[in-house]
Amino acid sequence: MRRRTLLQCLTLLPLGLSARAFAANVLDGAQGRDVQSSLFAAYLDTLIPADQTPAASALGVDRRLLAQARRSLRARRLLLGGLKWLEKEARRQGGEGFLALDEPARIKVVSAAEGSPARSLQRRFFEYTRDAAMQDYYSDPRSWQSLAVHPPQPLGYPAYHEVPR
Amino acid sequence: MTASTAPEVLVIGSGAGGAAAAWVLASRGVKVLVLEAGPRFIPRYDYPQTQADWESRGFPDTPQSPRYTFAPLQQLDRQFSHLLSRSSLHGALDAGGRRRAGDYQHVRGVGGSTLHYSGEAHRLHPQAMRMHSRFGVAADWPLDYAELEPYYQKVERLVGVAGPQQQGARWRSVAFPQPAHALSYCSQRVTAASSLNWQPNSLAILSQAHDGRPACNYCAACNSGCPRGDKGSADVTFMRAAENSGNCRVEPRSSALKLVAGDNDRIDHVLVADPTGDVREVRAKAVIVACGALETPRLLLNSQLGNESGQVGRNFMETLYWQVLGLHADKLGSHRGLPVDAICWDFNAPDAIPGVPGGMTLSIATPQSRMAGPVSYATRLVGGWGRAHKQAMRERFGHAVGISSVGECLPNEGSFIDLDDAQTDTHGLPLPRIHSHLDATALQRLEFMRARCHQVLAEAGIETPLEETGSYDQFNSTHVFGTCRMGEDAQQSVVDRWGRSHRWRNLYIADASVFPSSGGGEAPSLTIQALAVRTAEQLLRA
Repeated sequence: MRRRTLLQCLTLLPLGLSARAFAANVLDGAQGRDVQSSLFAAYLDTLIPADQTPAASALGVDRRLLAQARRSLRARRLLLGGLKWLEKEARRQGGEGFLALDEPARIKVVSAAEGSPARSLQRRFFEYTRDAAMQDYYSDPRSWQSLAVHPPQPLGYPAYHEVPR
Repeated sequence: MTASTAPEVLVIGSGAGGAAAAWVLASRGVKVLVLEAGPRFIPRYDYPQTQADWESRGFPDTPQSPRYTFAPLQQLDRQFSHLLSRSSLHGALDAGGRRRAGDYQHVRGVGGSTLHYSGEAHRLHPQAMRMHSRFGVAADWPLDYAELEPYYQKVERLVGVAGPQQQGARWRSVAFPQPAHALSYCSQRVTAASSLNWQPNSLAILSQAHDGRPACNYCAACNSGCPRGDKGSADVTFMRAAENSGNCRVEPRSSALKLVAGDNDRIDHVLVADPTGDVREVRAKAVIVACGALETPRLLLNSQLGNESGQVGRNFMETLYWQVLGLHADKLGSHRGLPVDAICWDFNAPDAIPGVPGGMTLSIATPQSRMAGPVSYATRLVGGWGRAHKQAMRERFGHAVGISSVGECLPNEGSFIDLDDAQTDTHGLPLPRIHSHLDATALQRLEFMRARCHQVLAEAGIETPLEETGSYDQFNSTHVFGTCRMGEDAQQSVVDRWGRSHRWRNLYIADASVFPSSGGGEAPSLTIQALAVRTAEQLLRA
């Protein structure tokens, strides 16, 4: 259902809808939000999967980044363009779309975005979302297990001069 | 004193210089009004250190509109491509062939830029005050180290500066008021491996409780503001003492717009915009301007006075810096401690760098490089993504080593501040415009600074920096100097040896704009404060 909705949205572009209208339609419409959430969450969970600590979407990173993107047309366009590219690349690699891929195949698609030319849309999408996701994810104490870190105050680090544990 | 009561002295700016001057005057019974363009921050509430997202939030001073502009900066030269800023994650800084306009990291708020500083409390190298006599560059200070030394003492005592027994050429008549901080484990490891001479940095950060303020608990986040008050920012030291005297009133969010001349070569009054935007006249027997080396010349130029020498805005000196980051093989816990806890003075003397006048300092500055939390690691040092990235974060967090160098910046014809008639502030006044040019000697010094930073990292076992940034391809300054130079010659300087205008008998300047030279990498706040105390005492005598 969600995948079908996404495909409906993506087909709007070739029909002549401007990128601005497309961005507004997809990100602001209720159907678009569902699609966004699923695809974007799956993408971010490929960047930051669960292991000893939760995946990105389990900490709400996808929801906060989408909310941020809704406040900036430039970010919305980059994000939507990137998601469209992911979907297209997933199909080019023989899948039925990014959401339908298993983890190794998703990694292959994301690696292709990372390895694209520096100024390409998919590379800019990758770099923007990687940094934004890492910043958001590592601002949540649930991501800090095994890092021996805490907010600087009120505890400080009185044993700063000793070998770290 | 009420707001409507005329103060005896009006101080414009509450940073290092303005606060120190206000303290001297108010503690001697003088009625002082301090204007501060920014707000009064409430450390426990406004600073982010107790929050999970403290790294992303940083210091809470967010300009709503531009505060300065840049004239086009210089073209970059291929022969200096090794001086381009670069990172292993993001590649070379894309400066587009021209030096990039970065930030003048100036805080508006009660306490000024000391609110976000690292607390470094340095006396100038005595020889750094004689750059013209020794090398024919910059200008000599109209006073020497011996004359300034008693004022350094006063400031260090009030603030509670912690430092080592000796600091080489910068002799002391009394010991630091507080014992030096122990080096962090990271700095112990780096200094033990280094062939250079290191010692604990002298810091305006308490190693012992003092004057109702607690000792530091080493959270490493001084640059986001100190919520405990152990860092000696001007708001919790000079400004607090001045206000406690009952003779000093501070008006936050109030801007001085114009100095208006009166008879007998005196300032008659100052036009002041209050927080609502209403403009009033404030009269005082004397006016001390302490807005920093951009805003002070801007105020004088907008007022069309004080520039009889043509030197207002000239001789602009910026922060010449280099900074490298790498990952050590061992877990160092380097996110703990103090922003800049170890310093090397080996190259600080003005003749210490072969072939070029002016010195530099080296410091171990891992937290000051913003490597105090996991966000910085994930976005700047630890590359990749997926499970491998998460594992790498666990393996490498706390391993960062940051080395920083700051060098002498000499005045040149291409570096100055003027007014940008095309861009104005909310009051319709032109913004200050930065003209910055790094000359050949600056680039030569930068090369030496870069090489020494690499040397320290290499001796610590880190062969390749993962990130290095410097002044060559980006203007980025925490310390700026020289735009209202002090001197004996009224044709070559703006203020006299006491910080008083050569022409306007009740106008004083008490910030780094009076510095005739920048020093060899010393942090300037202690010298600003010592000069301001000296200026205020002279004003009392006058």
